[in-house]
Amino acid sequence: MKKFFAVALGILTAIGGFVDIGDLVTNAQVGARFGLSLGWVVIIGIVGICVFAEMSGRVAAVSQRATFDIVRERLGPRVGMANLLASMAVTMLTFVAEIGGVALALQLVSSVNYLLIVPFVAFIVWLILWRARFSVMENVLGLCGLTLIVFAVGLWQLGPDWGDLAHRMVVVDKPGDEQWRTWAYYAVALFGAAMTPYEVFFFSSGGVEERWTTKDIGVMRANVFIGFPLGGLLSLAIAGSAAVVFGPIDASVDTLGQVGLPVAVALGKIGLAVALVGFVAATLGAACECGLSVGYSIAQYRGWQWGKYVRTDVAARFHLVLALATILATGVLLTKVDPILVTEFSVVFSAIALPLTYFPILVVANDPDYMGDHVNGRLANALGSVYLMVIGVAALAAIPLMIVTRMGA
Amino acid sequence: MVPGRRGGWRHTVATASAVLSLAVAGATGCAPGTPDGDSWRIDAQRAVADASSAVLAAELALRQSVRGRIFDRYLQTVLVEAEEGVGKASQSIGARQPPGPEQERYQTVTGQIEEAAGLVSTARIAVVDREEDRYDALADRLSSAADALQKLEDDLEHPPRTGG
Repeated sequence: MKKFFAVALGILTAIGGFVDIGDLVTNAQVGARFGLSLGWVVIIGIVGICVFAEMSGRVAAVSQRATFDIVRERLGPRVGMANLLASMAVTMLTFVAEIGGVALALQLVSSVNYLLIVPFVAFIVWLILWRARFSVMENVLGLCGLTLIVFAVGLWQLGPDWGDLAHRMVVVDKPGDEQWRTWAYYAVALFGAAMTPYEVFFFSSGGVEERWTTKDIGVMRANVFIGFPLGGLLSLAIAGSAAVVFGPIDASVDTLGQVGLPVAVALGKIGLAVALVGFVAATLGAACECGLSVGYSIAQYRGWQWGKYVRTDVAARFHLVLALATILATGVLLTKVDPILVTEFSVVFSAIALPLTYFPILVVANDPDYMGDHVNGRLANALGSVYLMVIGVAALAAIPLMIVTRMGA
Repeated sequence: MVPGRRGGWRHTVATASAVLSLAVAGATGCAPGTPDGDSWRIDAQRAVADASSAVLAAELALRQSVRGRIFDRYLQTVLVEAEEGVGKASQSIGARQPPGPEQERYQTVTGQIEEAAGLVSTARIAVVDREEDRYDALADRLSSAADALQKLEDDLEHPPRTGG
């Protein structure tokens, strides 16, 4: 019974923790402009994140060592550094976007300008990273993030033509007034949002924090293969509700306030209140995960003591990195840079960094010296290889598409 | 120094610079200056579409408020964001020099966007002052403004009609 609850809790937190500011904004933007005609990209992205999250979780469970630690040892300091720089740059950008996202969500509740809220949010994030227990942080914020299910309820309440929505998802097509290059740009952005590197690093480092062993592989797989796809359904619900409300009036979505409007239309104040809880929980949870991922990445690469299960004085350098990253993110936001714009950059640059992030994971998961009997099977290798090609295409296309479409204009 | 290697190095630097410039241009949202009519029309269409979306969001939020489906503070934030959105659209197209044949439509575009900006500001002030009895009428006016902007956006699909 205890194991059942552990599995259920893991799945629920995986669902609630799946959506972040990138998913919220990108899915709503795409839903408003393209309906569900890019829904298949979300599905491809979810399968991809499942493939690599399972690999990195398995590496953590078998070796009891974190990804960066092994990548540097297995592939050498140069590849390790490339891996570190690529994922760090994107994770830091995402960290900025998530803290900005929490502030924007609280602005919707209080109508106080988000710039005044940013330092408060940054302090709360730092406090959680410093003091809160790992399991409490993961479970509380993950479960609160589940309230984003309100988007699925709202979509059902809006009463769309389900057949039409499903048809648009399986047919590669676009609205007549949009260009294919813009469609391709948003496909790359959605893919980047679904496969954000920090999610995999946080997942595997969390496995080391929670001292996973080979006995935990089953639970880990349940979290990945059930929790992540159900979390992905939330992304589709956000896109679907934006498509139903904004599509017919030909309006785009540019702010977090607009992301929540379909829920208000469908469910009124109660639904909107639940969505706001979801916004805050999803972005705060993701901010904590990003912050920790920055600390994990650097500490694991440098071979420092790291983790929330280690006493703070023992892992002082790890906690110093967390504090400095939080200060840096706050400083960037206080320059008045638009958090939504940062979010748009973060999902596209995420696509660019994907090959450097995921290739080393595939190599390590294939190495019998580290993995023993739990080395990648044929299916994992086939999927991993196919996804590396897809990731490569997305990475190469990202910047040219960003330029020619002027960021999807 | 080996000449071939030096040339190769220069080539590498030139390529890297070109890639970096493209990346920086993309990252900063900049585009090379393109003063032709097509380019201006694309920018004008984008500005009008952005303004129209912001106006529609403001209208939608006001209508939900009339139906009691949205919190006052949420409504206020959506309207502040809409006001900023229309303002940005106005700035982006106002700063672009139109080509000669587009002078007339430049006046129309900037005029309609500024009119919409004024309307969204009026709505935001009404929301801050809790003048709820005005919400319906303001939503109707925002709807008309959005319609006009969408018609203008369609019109900008084509080059200006020449007289004669």
